[in-house]
Amino acid sequence: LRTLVFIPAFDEADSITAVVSDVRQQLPDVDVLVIDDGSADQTAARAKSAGARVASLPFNQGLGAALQTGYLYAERHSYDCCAHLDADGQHPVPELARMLELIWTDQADFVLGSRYIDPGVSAAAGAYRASFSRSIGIWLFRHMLSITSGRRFTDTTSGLRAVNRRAMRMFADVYDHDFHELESLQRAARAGLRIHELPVTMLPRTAGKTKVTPVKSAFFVFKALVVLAVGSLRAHLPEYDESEDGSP
Amino acid sequence: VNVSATASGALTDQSRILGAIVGLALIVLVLELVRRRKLQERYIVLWVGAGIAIIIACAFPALINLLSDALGVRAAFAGMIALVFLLLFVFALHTTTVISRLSEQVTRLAQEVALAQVDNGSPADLSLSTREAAAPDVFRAFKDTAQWLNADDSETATAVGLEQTIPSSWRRDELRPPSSRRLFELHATLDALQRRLGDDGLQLWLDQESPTRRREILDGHMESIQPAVHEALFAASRDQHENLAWAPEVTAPSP
Repeated sequence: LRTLVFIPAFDEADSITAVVSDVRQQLPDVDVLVIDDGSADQTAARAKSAGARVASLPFNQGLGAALQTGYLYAERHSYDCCAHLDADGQHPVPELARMLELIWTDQADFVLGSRYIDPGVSAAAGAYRASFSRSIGIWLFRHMLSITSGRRFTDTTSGLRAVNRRAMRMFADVYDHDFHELESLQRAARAGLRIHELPVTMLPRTAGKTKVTPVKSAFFVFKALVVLAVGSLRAHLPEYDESEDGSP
Repeated sequence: VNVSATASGALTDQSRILGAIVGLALIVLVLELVRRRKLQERYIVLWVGAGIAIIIACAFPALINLLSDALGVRAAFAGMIALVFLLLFVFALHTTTVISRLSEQVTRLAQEVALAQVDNGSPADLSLSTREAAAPDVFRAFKDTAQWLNADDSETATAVGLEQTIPSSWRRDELRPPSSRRLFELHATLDALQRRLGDDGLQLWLDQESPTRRREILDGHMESIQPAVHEALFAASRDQHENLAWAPEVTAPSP
C-alpha cells in the first residue's frame, strides 16, 4: 500500500530534521512530505536536506489548512493511506507505525493516537500529563463530541492520525481550518467511519515553544463548542466510499 | 429654532442642514474612493443611495415622521436611528460573509501554490531560479527593446512583426517564439547603440530626423535607418580609435 506521512511545520527548524530522519529511518517505505506553513526560518530547507518533499504555503494559513494540504496531496497522488504527526518531536515514530499497521491491515478507516486512553500508562515515566486548565478543555471537548457525534473519544485534539483512502478523500474535500481536530473527528464519526483510538506515549517537545496561550485556549474552547453544536445541525455528508468515480 | 418640534423629537432646521451636509459629504467621499479604485464600483449604488436617503430625509422631515409612525416609535429621530442601525448591522453581516469567502479562496490558492511546487519536484526557491534562467532571454530582449524605444508591449511587438499575444505567452510558459529573429536583430542594434551613445545619447539619437528614427523603428522600417546606425556606430568607434592613438603622445614625454 502506498503510504504518505506528512508533517505540518511552522517555524520548526530546530526539530524538523530529526523528525524527518526518524520517519525515513523507521518507515523506509513511506513517502515523507513536509508542509511548511509559511515559516520564516529554515524549516523548508532543512526538511528538504533531510530528504523530505516540501510543500511551502506562501504565507501562514494555520494548522488546519496545512493538514488539508497534506490530505490534498495524498488524494491527488493516489496514495492508499496517509498519516500525519507534529513537527516538534512530540510524536514517536514507532507509535505512528503501530497506527499505520491498523490501516494497512484494514482494521480501521481512521486511527487516532490517544494520549489519555490508558490510565495505567500515565503513571509511567514520560507519559503525558495535562495541566489543570487544559484538562478542563479536554473534558469539555470529549463530552461535547460524545453528545454531538454519538461516539466516545478520549483524546479529541491529538495531532497524530492515520487514515485510509476513504477518510483521506473526506478530509481533502472539506477540512475546517480553525477547529480541524474536532470537526474532522465529528464528521468522520457521523459518516460512519471505523475510528480506532490507539493509546500512544508522547514525548515532551524537543525544541521550540508551544504556540498555545491560556487566553487563546479559553477562547478556542468556547468557539469550538459553538462549532461542534453547528456541526451536529449539518445534514449528514454523503458517503465517501472506495470507488473513485462516484463523486462524493 | 422650533422649540415644540425639538420637544416632540422632530428635527430642527439646524440638524436638518447638518444632516444634509453629512449626506453630501458621504456621496463625495464614496465617489472619490471609487475614482481612486479603493472601492469597487458595485458598492456605489449602496453608499450613494445611503447618502441620497440622508439628504431626502433632511429635506422632507415629514417622511421621517411617517416612518416613525409606521415603526410605532414616538420620537421621529429615534426611529430613524433604529432603522439606520438595522441597515448597518445587515451590511456588516454581509461583509463578514464576503470576508469568509475570500479567506477560503486565499487558503485554497495558498494550498494550490504549495502543491504545484511539490509536483514539479522542485522546491520553491529552485523552481523560481530555473524559471528565471530558462525563460526568457527572448522575453528580456523584448523588454529591453521596449524600454529603449520607450514603447509599450504591443507597439514593440508590431515593430518586430510579432503578434500581440506572443510576448505575454513567453512570460507565461516559456515558449520559444516562432519568429524572434527580427526582435534579436533590433535588440542587438539598440544594445550596440546604447553602449556607444549611453542611455541619454540613445534617446536623443532616436528622436532625431523627421520622421524620427524611433517612429521608423516602431513602424517596422529598420532598413531606412540602417545608414544612420552604421554611421553612429562607426563614427563613435573611429573617435575612440583616434583617442587611443592620440593618448600615448601626451603621456610619452612625461618620464
